[in-house]
This record gives sequence, structure tokens and C-alpha cells, in this order.
Amino acid sequence: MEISLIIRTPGTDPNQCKRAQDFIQSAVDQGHQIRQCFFQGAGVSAALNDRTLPRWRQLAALTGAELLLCSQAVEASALSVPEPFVIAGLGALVEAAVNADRLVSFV
Amino acid sequence: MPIGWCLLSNRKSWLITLAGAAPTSADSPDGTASTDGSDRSALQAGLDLALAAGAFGQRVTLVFAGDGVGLVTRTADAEDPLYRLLGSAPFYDIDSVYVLNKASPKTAFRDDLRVTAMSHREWLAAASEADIVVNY
Repeated sequence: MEISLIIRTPGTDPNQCKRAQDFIQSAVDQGHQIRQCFFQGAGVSAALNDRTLPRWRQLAALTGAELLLCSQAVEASALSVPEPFVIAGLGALVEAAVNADRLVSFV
Repeated sequence: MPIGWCLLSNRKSWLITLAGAAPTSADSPDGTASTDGSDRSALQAGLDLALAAGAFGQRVTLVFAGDGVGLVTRTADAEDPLYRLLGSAPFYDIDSVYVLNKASPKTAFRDDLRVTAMSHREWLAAASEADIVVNY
């Protein structure tokens, strides 16, 4: 099964982001594919903090999933975007949702 | 192939529910919720997604609950950017929006949109029929 994720977890609780990362790891362990992770709102800055970034890099290498940062949130926070993250618009999120078998949100 | 063409040929049904944060003591006495101080970013993000999905030819059912209800009541601030943005929904082929039945029967809804009450049972049925279900 191909899965895409919307991640809006705030950085205030690192466990929330870890839950999304653990979900991805478990899904891949069970033979599923992660198509895209779309980080939106507070999820953007949470994805880029020092505690979570190394594991996102690890998961991107493991799954080949696109890690997309919502362009609005990046612009609003004036963040620099490290690899493997890519800036994307809502069209990419719509595409990810339409083409995946499941869309899972982490809030 | 451009994203738009791929999406137009793959039309799915979406159920997007905008509730924002849980209702607070700032809610108005008629049972509708205030949009002041709530999780406006969630409402904005969900509405943006609904309009984007509509723009790409997706079938969108938009439901308001909790703090989101304030965006469809007539008493809401008509100059609020989010309120005005929602007014553009028909241009994205979102012709009617729904409100989860918590609002009082006396609640007056905005008249620039077709607003229909939806029971929780109907919401569950809509969720089971939709291809994509997202809550904000």
C-alpha cells in the first residue's frame, strides 16, 4: 500500500513528531511504501529542528519518500530548507492524497 | 505531465472538516463558536487545502464544526480574511458547505453560501463514502 502523510505536529512536544517517524518506520517494516510527507503549518519548523532532522534524513534515505515543506509556512517563518526537504505548494499535497492509497494525518 | 492534468483525470471525493480548536468559554450564547483566539492556523490550512483540491477538479465536501462554525454564521466578522476567503468557495466548485448539527436552530448562517446542517450520523456516512477524509 502507498501511504502519504500530512504532518502538522508542533515542535513543542517532540514525542508527537517521533510518533509520525515511528509510524513511517513501522509501515516500511510491514512492506508498505511511503510516497510523500507534506509538512504543514507548525509541522514545518518542527521538522527542521535539531532533534528531529537527523531521523527525517534517515527515513528519507530508507523510504525514498519526498519530504515536502508547505511553501506558505516556509515563507512565513523565513526558514532555510536543508536537503532532503523540498518546498512545495498545496497542489503537491492534493496530488499526494489523490495518488496514494491512504492519507494519514499527524496533528 | 503537469500535476493539474494528472489530478483532473483522477477525481476523488474529499471530506474536509474544519473544527479548529475545541470550543472555549468565549463561544457565543447561541451555541456557535467564536473564531477569535482559536486555532486559526488550522482553519486556514484546511480551507486552503479545500480550495486547492477544488481548483484541481476534486469533489470536495466541506464541513464546519467547533470553532469552524463561526466562519459560516451571519454574525461573523464579514471583513475577516478567512471569512472572505470562504466566500470564494463556489469559484472552486464547492457550492454547498455543511455544519455539524451542534449549532442552535436559531443560528443564522451567511447568505452568500448554501449552508446545510449535517448530523453526526450523516457525517459518518459521508466519511465512509469519501475517498479522502481530512480534519483540521
